[in-house]
Amino acid sequence: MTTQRQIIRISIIIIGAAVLFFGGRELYYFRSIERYPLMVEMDAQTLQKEADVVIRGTIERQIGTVRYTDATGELTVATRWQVNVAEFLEGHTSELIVVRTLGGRYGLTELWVEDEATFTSGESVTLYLDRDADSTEYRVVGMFQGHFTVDGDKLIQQETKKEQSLKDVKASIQAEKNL
Amino acid sequence: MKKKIFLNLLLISLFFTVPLIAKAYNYAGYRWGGSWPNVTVDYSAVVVTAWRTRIQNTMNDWNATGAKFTFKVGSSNNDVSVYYADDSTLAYVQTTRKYVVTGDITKAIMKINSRHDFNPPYVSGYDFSTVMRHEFGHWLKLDHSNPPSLMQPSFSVGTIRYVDSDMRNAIRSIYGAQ
Repeated sequence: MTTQRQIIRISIIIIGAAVLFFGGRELYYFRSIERYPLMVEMDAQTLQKEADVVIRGTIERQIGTVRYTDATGELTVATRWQVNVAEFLEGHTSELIVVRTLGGRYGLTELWVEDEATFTSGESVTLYLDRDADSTEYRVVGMFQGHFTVDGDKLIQQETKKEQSLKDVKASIQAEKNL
Repeated sequence: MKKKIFLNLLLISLFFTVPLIAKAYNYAGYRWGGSWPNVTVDYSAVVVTAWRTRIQNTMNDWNATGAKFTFKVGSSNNDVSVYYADDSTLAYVQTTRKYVVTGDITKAIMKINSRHDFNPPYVSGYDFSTVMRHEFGHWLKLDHSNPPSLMQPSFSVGTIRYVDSDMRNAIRSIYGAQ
């Protein structure tokens, strides 16, 4: 009986210590961060020049968030999106890729980033992508500037409502390749 | 009769234009706490002398808006520093509200991306003073606005913007006029 009680006591102490340790550690990250990047103004040519890969595809779903210290030394939260690639307009990678957008919530840390690309599941997109400096995944070039919703042959930049034609984009990429 | 119609038309046009004028800036919705915040900025990590001068000058631009807010220089964790990243970000400001209860900002930092050519030292580059004025606008909690504005979300090489009357009104409205 005494041995049983001792086991229960020790278990409570161990569980309590674990809760205090992990909970206390998480409290260190309890903050709300807002980030305001100022970007280079990018036209279609600049986007094309800066991108490793240009794809047309569908935003499948959000696959969670990650928290890390980024290349600039700051605590960052990113949201990971699974993207199904239908067509590679430039470059080549696997047909299922993960694109990171800055911002989101992880534990007690919340990061909001002004003018980052924002996706919705099932959205048909054309994306100008670059390798993320902090992982093997992708980032949208120029934040909102490299994200276009596809509507037939029309590509619409969500934040500015600027339009361009998919046919023109393909022709421009092909012309660049032929140079 | 004509006078009445004219007055009515004037009132209607004012009704539609006043909100447009009021939307010349966007306020984030929270700010530095206190009735007259004095925020100390530490730019000792910036080694380019021409940049340090311009950082100081642009802080003075905002100090001269007549708002109850003052930028000061000194040792602080509100620091300005330089980094390198192979991306399209010219610079960024990050503000932190560690204790969400009060909603007040507890810390702000600014990072300048040395990947890009700034004027100075480059003759043809992004105007460093404009970039700093923009970033300190965020520091004071202004969000991006539609171009042309100091707070537009992106700049081209050679674009110059100043702390204009819209910005002065914005800061006075957020922090109160002196």
